[in-house]
Amino acid sequence: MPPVQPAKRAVPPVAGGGGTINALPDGVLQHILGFLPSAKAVQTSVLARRWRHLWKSATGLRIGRPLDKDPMSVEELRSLVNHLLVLRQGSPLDTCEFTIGGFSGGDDVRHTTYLLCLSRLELDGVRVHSRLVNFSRCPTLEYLEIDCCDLSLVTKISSDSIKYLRINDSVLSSDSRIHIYAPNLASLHLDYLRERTPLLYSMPLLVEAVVRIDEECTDRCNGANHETCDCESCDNSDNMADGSSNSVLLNGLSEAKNLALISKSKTLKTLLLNDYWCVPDDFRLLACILKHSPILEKLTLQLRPEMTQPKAEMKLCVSSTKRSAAISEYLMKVELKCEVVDDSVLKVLKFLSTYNIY
Amino acid sequence: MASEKKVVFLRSSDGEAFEVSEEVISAASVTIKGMIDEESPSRADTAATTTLAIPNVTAATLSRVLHYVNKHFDAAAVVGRPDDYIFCAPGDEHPLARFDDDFVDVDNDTLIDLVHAAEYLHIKKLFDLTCKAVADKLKGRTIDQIRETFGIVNDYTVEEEVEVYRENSWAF
Repeated sequence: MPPVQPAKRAVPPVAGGGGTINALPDGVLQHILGFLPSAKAVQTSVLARRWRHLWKSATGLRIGRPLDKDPMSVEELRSLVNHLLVLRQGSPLDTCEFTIGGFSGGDDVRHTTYLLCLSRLELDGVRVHSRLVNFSRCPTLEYLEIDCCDLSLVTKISSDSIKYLRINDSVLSSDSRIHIYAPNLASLHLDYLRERTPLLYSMPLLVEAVVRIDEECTDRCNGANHETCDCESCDNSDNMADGSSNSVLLNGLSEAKNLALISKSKTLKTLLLNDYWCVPDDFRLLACILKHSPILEKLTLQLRPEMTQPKAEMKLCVSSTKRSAAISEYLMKVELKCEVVDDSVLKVLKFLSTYNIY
Repeated sequence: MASEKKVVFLRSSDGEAFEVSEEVISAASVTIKGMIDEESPSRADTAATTTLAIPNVTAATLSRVLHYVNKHFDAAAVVGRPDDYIFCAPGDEHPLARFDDDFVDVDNDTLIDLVHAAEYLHIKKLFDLTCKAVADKLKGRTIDQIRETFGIVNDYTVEEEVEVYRENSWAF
């Protein structure tokens, strides 16, 4: 090694380092094997003596076949999973990915109870048969991704430990909303969900949320006047003001620090936001909502969420002559509900006036 | 602290020094953050820039690693573009996915050096990326091809090899 400038600390050099796979320590090879389909990882046992048992400590399990291949039969799958779980003898696992192509009838995987020390679970193309998806026996689970799954029988997903939840392109129940109970969630992505929108319980630690709603989401009211309708889809502002707090999405999302609401559907016409959205001097969230809600007609700002009856209500109108280009072209009414008209309320009013909303 | 952009120099095993923002490298590398934290008391009273020796990573590898780190961990670059990510169309990948694909599209030796460096520097995202890239190289190959590509010598006796096949026959 050439002389280096007075390094303050010597660091023990890594053994080998000649760029060959043989020089990598066992722990690294086990991590590499964790990215292979599990059957392939087992097959590496025949490479050489050193590789014979490495797969048993692979840090990930990837079970199944890609969605464009024929799905594995239930028997094949059961044999593979049983062998893996028994022979691994509880080696620590970071990731488990089941890819079980299609929703072919009857496929049923009942192995989740083995996965007690899992931190990351990705489900891809799985039909879930139980009504309650409860991860309370899986206290280390932090990352849950549900992609292209059939959750139409599920009524509740709950986990005290998950921090990252992504549900993408999946079919939810058409009869009732899935209740999502995840009080420690930091990141939530709901993308292209079909049928009923989930109901989110309080997520006080939420940092970011991305919710994309498009035409596939059939959660909409068929009534003519959604403002007076009280069906579940219309479950709007007034219910929340009573303290029933079952506003469908935004109640759960209101604690997010970064939020993207994306709607191509033509139904997002009224919106209620609590005081989180308009903390004085930082109205970026509110500006973002105004800008990205192209079909919004009525916006309600409730600046004291904990109270049951607002003492003061202000109805503002959007100036029709000097309409700002930065707001929804259909926005007509903005309502402000608060307890007292204090400084922060005045600041919100002042902010809104920059959009010619008086 | 945050007002001035502090930099540190990393000196590779072959003696080349690379400049990198202290904030960026601390966010990326647990190992280097640890070194910087240990240095802090002694350099609080001096204006001298710190040079940290990275004795087991060559200049060629270190410069690649820093290229990755600057792409992935520079808050200015990342924070400036969350909208790109959030509002990307369905099926679109993360904007850095393409960068990552190109980054690991290298020969085996270079890739293994990157795995080593990512492990030593404790850069989890890079470690996962490079390990997955090695796995992808294993995935499409037969056992013989893997041995040949990666220079793995089969040291089993014939009997042993048959035995290993037998005990793991459920996976073949």
